[in-house]
Amino acid sequence: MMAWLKRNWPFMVGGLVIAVLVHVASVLAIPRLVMWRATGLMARNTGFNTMSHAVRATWQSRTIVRPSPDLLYSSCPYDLDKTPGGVLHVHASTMPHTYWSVSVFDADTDNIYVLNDSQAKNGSVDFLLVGSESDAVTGRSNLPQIWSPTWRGVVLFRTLIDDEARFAEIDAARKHAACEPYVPQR
Amino acid sequence: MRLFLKCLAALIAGTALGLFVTWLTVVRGTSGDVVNGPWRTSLLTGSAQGGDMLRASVALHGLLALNRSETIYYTASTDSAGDALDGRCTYRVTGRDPPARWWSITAYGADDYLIATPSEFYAVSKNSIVRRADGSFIVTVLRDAGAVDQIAVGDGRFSLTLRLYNPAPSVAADPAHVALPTIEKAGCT
Repeated sequence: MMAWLKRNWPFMVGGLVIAVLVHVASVLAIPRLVMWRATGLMARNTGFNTMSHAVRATWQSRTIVRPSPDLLYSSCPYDLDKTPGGVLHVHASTMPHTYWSVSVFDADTDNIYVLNDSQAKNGSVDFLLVGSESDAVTGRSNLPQIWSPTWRGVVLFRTLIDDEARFAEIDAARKHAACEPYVPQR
Repeated sequence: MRLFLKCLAALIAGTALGLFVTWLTVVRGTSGDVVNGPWRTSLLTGSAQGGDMLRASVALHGLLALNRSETIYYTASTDSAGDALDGRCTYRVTGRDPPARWWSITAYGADDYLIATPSEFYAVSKNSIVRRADGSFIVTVLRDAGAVDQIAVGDGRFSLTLRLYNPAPSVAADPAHVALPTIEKAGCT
């Protein structure tokens, strides 16, 4: 046994080094890969930089893990590289009278921005999502600017169904949420 | 030739070991470092300060989770006695309204998705539960549900997620000691 160890210890050490590298690489890769798949699934029907309004979650909802059946989700998978100037306009004129939030997640899955109904002015949403090189393009805009550390990610509206009797009203109102490539007004 | 085979063996064994450790710590890992009875959480969920391990775990088990200022997520995979939650058993979840603007308890299968049951009673929430005279509630978790204060979980292993939307500052200040519902096993078939 000792003789075998003496002959093969370099390979065992090499194997352990490889194990550490593979472990670190896989841990680093998981968020990006999962987010890449999720944004791809969200964009499958409507494409990037467009808001889609998912139906209420059931056991058949398989795009995102652990969905809440109390919430209605509207998602805008974004790719700032596919917008002129690298800017996305996110807005919702009249959101329903219930709890709601709009949040932004970058390609590393980090929640880089969140705003809810009690924080929003006049119950509406209006901001720009900008990539790192596009600040100058939007410098003349009065809209709040949120900087995304990555070009891809997701803008997600969550709207609470606080009363089943109001479902149709809440569902209709949350569909005011929208996103599209930003075109500066001259 | 022998040298090549030894290098190849080290490469394969190292890769397999590295992936196994990732599976053990991230895929099968627990859902937070803060323990409150059967519930676990992490205040760094959704945060850029969460670190690579937590970020990977959240990506797999709770993608698009909000940060703690907006929502705190507690997850239970065991009952209050420490036994794994199992759909062949019935549980009573007993408590009072947690300190948050809104809360809900939702059941998920081992695959982290909502569980297919005939009744489709996936969750209870602040507005759906029936409170007793003293303000407390009892939610029954069982194979298939038929009432608003019940959650259906099918036959297999499952977990419960307690969402606290706009939690009171006391939750983030001391998440291990905030009063949360207990999960007691009532019986098994």
